[in-house]
Amino acid sequence: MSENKNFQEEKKSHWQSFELKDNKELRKIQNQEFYTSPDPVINRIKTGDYDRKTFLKLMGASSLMMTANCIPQKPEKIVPYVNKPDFMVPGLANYYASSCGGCDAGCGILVKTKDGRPLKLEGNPKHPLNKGAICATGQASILNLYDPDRAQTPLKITNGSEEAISWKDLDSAILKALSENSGKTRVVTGTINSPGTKKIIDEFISKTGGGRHLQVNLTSPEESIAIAADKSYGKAVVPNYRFDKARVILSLDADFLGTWISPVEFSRQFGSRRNLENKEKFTSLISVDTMPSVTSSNAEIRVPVKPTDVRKVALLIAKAISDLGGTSYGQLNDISLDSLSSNLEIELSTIKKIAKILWDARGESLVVGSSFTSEAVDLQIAVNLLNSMLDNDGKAVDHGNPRTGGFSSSSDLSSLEKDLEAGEVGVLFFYNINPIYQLPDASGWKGKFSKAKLIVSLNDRIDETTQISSYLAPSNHFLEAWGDRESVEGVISIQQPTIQPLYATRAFEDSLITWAGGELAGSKTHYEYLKSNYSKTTNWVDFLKGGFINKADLEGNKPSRGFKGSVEKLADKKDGLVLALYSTVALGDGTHANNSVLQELPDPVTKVTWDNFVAISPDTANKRNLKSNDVVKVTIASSQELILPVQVQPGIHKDTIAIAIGYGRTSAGRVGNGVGKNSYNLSSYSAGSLQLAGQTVEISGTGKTYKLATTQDHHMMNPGNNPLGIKYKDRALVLTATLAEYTANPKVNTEKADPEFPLLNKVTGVKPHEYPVKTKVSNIDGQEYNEARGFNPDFEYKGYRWGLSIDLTLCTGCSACVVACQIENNVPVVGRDEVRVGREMHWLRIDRYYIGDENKPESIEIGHLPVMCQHCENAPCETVCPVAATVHGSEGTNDMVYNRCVGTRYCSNNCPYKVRRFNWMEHWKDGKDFARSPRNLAFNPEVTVRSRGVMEKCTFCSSRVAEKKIRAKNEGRTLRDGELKSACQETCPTDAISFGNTNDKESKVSKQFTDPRNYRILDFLNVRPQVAYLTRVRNHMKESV
Amino acid sequence: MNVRAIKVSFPLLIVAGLAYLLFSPAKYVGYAPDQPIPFNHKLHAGDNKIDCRYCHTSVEKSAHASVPPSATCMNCHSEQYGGAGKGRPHVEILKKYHKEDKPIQWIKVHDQPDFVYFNHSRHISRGVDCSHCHGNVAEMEIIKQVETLNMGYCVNCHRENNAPNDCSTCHR
Repeated sequence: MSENKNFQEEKKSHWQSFELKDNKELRKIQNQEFYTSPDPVINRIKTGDYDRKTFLKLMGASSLMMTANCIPQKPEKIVPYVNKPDFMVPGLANYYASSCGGCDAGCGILVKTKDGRPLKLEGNPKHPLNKGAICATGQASILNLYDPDRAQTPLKITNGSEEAISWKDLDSAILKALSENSGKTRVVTGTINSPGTKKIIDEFISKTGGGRHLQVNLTSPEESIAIAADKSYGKAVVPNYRFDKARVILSLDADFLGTWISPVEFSRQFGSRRNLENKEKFTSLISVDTMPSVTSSNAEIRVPVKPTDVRKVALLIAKAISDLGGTSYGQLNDISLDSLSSNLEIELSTIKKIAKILWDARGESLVVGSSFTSEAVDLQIAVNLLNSMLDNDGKAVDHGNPRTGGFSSSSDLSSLEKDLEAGEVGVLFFYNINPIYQLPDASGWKGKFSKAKLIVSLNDRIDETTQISSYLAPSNHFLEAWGDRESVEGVISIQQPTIQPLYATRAFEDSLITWAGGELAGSKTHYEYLKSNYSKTTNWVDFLKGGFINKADLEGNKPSRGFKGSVEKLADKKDGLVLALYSTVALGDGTHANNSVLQELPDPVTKVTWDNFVAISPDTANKRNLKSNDVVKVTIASSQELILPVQVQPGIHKDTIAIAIGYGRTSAGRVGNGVGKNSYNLSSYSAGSLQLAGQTVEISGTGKTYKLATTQDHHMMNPGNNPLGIKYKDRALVLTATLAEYTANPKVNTEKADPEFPLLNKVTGVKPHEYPVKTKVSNIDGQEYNEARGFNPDFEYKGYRWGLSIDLTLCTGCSACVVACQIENNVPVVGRDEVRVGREMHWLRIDRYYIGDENKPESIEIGHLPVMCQHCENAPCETVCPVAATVHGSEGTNDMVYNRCVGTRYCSNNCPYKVRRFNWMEHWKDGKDFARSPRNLAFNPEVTVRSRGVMEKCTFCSSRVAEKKIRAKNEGRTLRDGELKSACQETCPTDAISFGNTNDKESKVSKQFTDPRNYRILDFLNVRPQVAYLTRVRNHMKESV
Repeated sequence: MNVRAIKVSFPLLIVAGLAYLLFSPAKYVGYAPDQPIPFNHKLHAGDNKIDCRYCHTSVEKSAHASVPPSATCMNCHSEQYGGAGKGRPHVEILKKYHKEDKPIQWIKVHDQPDFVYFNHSRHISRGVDCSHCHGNVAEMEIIKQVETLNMGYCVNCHRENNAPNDCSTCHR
């Protein structure tokens, strides 16, 4: 990154799509209402390619349909309780404090239940780790509860065919097998961060004569961190990281804002330091990455590398720091800056700059790393060395509150391998783990497992691992079961059931208790165990109400540990293309593959849905004559191959080939089966762990193409084409400034209007940043016209006036808001084919912009712009609706009345922001997954479920507004600021989104509306959007170099 | 049927359908469906002067007034608490339902479409009497709908009383 980069000058380089970077095709697409002409039939009608008879047919059919619909409603029934629980008021929501089971991070959540159904998950605002936010996966995990493809009864599986059996039969079969194979029990689970469950498993094993509990997590970085900690400091712990204590962060391929260990907690901490009121503490992030990720899109300096070079870069930086005066603990002697940096093809000046920035912030910086190459542990040792050199140990690296995921997964798996060979394994239980899917076929594990006497799966569905089992004892969803979680030592969260199990499933712990003879650890049920156990030390009811116990000192500094590790020799230079398998924000390791909302969530960076692909750099694509959507064959040395389409990805190192894991499930359910390809098959298995990156690969074209369902060219805003004919070319929609520029002039971006700037400037002399405009001016027609009021000059917004602001400095692009909005507002999932033709329904989309030169991957910066309905005061959609289905509310919102909408789509055509979504299908009725029972139970009853032929869009969460407003009115008061939150705001891990009353001058949103950084997108159209964006400020640390 | 017949009858059908839509009487006024138990509001709310809120408990708190659980009925009708109406056939049906732990499936009389969000608590707190929309229930042996409860009915009242008239007040 050039040091003197001025974003004002370079703003022309903002571009959204690699393929359409400023050419005629781009303009054509921008001028379309939808990405492509949606349908051949509709296209014929649009182009007038039909005769008189067809016209009459269409007219007749539509009139018939109209009249046929006019029959009285079917009578509805009211079915009251026989005995209503006291705490239940029909129509009012109850909230239960619990903890999220979406991943192993252990965030505290509040479960909103209404009339007995869990409807939405929110973060628990008081929880010390996630502090009120949850991620996209957490938001979507509620749909796993209503997944119709979960196992609904216990099953007996013989030769691949399933037979439903009763729990009684299952229990007796397992009890028999346990007594025949006493002492040879193996319980294989994924990460168990629940102290209660661990205890029950241990008791179960000892009660069945002995055996082992094996924890296996093949995609967690924590094991290598623990081993490296043992080698570096003498104790195997995974520290907790404190990004809020760091002014400079170096991420060595650790996507801590997206997928790494505990992204919500880390995003919260990271966001707390990106506060412009406290400029001295403003963070700077340096990202060394193999695949552009959420983290790299927030980085000030990016260094794209091959997966095999991550450790070399780490050591290179370490060497440069030691040159600046850092102690190198006797290591790094055989490293030469010049030769290594030329070997890596990284400019030495960049390395020296990074080293200087880190060294200047010593004691106040943080280095994190993640690697799944054969050097995984060595990289973590290098990370430890860097942290010790920079005096971060005990400060931002909080080893006093270790995370609980640092178990030795690989030795557990290898010991299981040995025991299976020796015939030492009797009954083998699988819970919360899917090794048959994750372990590559070539590793031969299928055959190895078959040496166990009996395999029992306790997963929630007939997944790949269940298929090789003899029995399935389906476990409950985390919203149906009791539990506890301790992901950071000392912070214990409760997990409460919020609904009776939907099917004949049974909690894992209760199954173990039953198989141990009905009692374990002195308790007959898991609930009884938890209650008696926690009642000893705390008030049980308070624990349930609050949701957590915090015994940890999370804030204080700890003494630093002395580094005594040793740095291994550098590996030889690897030529050719190198593989990197990565987890995506949406699918992670593939557990949630049957969750349609996650499958359709556009990846924060690549914007691809419903498939994985081979990401290659533009350079490689050119050399090999490939373009996006070309299907290639990926071959690795050990003759494994995978056939996948290509996506040309700017910002990736020219020798890296990145493929997402988590796809290609064969037995996830009707949604997830066959989506993408299983890239775990390219990984290599050795000694209990998976090597997901670092293998040399070769790709070759197959001559075929496969259209990826990417949303990157959909709903493009077109500043160049507007009804006023104003030339407004290439003004960036994501305004960016450096911290230095901002400090010098807070209005740096918003003030500098384009030379050709627009209407407001020319005609009225009002600059767009001066909101709210108060001047009375004459309009072009010579009529007196109050700018501040828009179309309706006499209307004054009294009482509430809703507005929303998005701080682009804080927005990381993590996409939690997209899913939160979808769950809150019953937004349908449309499927891959519909996404391909641009019919995705997300009310809130995140536009991703690249800044920089695609041929220089290190220059690529990524900006995110969340766009929802802007609730324009002079809304262009309202004036063109022939049936007044979209009208302006007295509180400044642009209301959408579904029952009035006849589906002309004029509004969508006239919307400059392209935020309106049309229901092409009756998704709730005949959608592939969306409404399959019991999925309909997850619908929010406060929001209309839209039918076909109806337009919809962001409503500023009008159901939430109404609910809170009615409550306040009933109590005879007005709403307090912060009482009402939109769904996107509530889940945002960095608090980038604020929603509230702009008439209240003290509200957060009003303050942001008048912040010097505030600007509106496409404001020259004089539509007066009520969504403000705050300039994206990046701390390039020029001042320190 | 020949083509000519279709050509003639089709437009006629459409015209007839549209005419029916335009001129048909308000459908739901007087609607009084058969209920599983012909509950007598006159007897309970009128003669015995039981407050509406004794049964419709959530009317002040929630969007729904809510129909009471059969346990509420048993507060008077169970033998233990006096056994009101003992021996009457419909009371016996109620007791049977309750004993078998089966909910009574009432037919909804005042039924708004699913895209309308009416909130009882807001109207009650504002001081709108139940009878304003539901009529004099204390005089009804069988509950029936007396007002049209269509959009015009709501909007008129909202206008007269200076209540919000935004679309999003009722449609979300």
